[in-house]
Amino acid sequence: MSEERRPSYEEVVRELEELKAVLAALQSGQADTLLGSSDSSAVEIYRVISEQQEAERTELIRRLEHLSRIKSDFLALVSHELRTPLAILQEAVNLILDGLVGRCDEGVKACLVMAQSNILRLGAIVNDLLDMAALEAGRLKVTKEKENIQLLVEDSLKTFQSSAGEKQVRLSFETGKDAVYYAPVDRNRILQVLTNLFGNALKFVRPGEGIIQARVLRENGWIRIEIEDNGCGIRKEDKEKVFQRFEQAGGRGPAPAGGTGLGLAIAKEIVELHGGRMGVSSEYGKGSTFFFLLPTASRELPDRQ
Amino acid sequence: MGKRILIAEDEEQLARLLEIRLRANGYETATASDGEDALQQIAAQPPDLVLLDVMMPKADGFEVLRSLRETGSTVPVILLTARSQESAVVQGLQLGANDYITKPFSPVELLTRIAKWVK
Ligand SMILES: Nc1ncnc2c1ncn2[C@@H]1O[C@H](COP(=O)(O)OP(=O)(O)O)[C@@H](O)[C@H]1O
Ligand SMILES: [Mg+2]
Repeated sequence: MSEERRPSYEEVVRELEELKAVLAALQSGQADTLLGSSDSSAVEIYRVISEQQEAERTELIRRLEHLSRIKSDFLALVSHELRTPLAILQEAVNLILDGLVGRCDEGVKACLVMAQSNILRLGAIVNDLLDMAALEAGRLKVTKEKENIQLLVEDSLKTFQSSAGEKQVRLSFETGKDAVYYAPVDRNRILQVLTNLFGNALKFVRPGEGIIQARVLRENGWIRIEIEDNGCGIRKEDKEKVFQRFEQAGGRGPAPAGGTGLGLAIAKEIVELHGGRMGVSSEYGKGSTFFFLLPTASRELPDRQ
Repeated sequence: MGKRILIAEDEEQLARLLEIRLRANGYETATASDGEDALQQIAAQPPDLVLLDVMMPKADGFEVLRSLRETGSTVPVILLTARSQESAVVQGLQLGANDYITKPFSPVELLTRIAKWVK
């Protein structure tokens, strides 16, 4: 199975960054240190460019920045244009299903229900693309307010009860009984992170024997949220990869997994925008535990009483 | 008598679907296809609520909102936004919008929010 290696999205982005760094170094006259440091293609580009005039270099930098901004804006605009037709499609189908524009028989209804669920699926992908574009352009902002993290996790878990029931997967929630765990967070954004982690866990456990356990714990000025599953697990070499954009692990669950591979990348960035961090521990074939840490509101509180 | 809702939305098809939904729920409706049109209609016959699209030709939702509040109108306004316009929501609320809803929206959410502001 030899196929030509396609650069990952991460690599494309990294190369762009590298180029930018070289050009910036050029402009500030620090290029010599770069020259000695490596023999990458970026340095080769430097050799060529360093012979050009200062004005040309400045123009290059400007263009490069302009290009990368266009790259993000383009994505945002396209995604935005996707939303209006989606809204129209969704509302048209909903009106028929709600019986507001006349009767339709069961066969028609069954088809429309399929259309409806796929509109939602498409909508979720558009959401991910939009978020990614906003993150890249530095336009995704979090507005933090003090929230009870235990309630937040429970709320999120509740929205998965029916789909877990259908798949005969057990959900459970544990937390310290002694205290309420508050942290300053953007409620909707943290719910988005949780939805993603629960959604993944549910996607990668086997129907009938899946167990998903959520935990909210306290850890030295941090609140630790863990979501453990007994699904397919993640190979060691894939652990880093799953947090990268457009990447999925080689080991798939029992059902075709679908998805864009953006969910975890977005989730991780959202957590980092909160000053937190995210990771996973996993044993391939046995299950995974995704976790994230959020800084608590009041660091002066003692960690244990 | 049914409450009147002005739908200011430049996507004609979406406006039409919204009319069907709202009429089925006992509201009277009118539509405006751009910001200027919306302002004229509100001045001529103030509705009980305005569903206001943010991105519209001529005057966008913000300009409509600013002009409404500057002239002392207190008509309830619900913004219709895409999720990519998150910062727009903040700006809209600061300009005096009462609520917002993101596209694509769920019918239940739409009706609940409208009912909350139409008294
Ligand atoms: N709970 C899990 N168990 C096993 N693998 C997982 C789990 N969560 C995520 N993964 C792996 O990480 C990949 C990336 O996940 P994500 O970024 O959410 O994208 P998507 O769900 O769209 O594939 C998944 O495709 C899967 O290979
Ligand atoms: Mg996912």
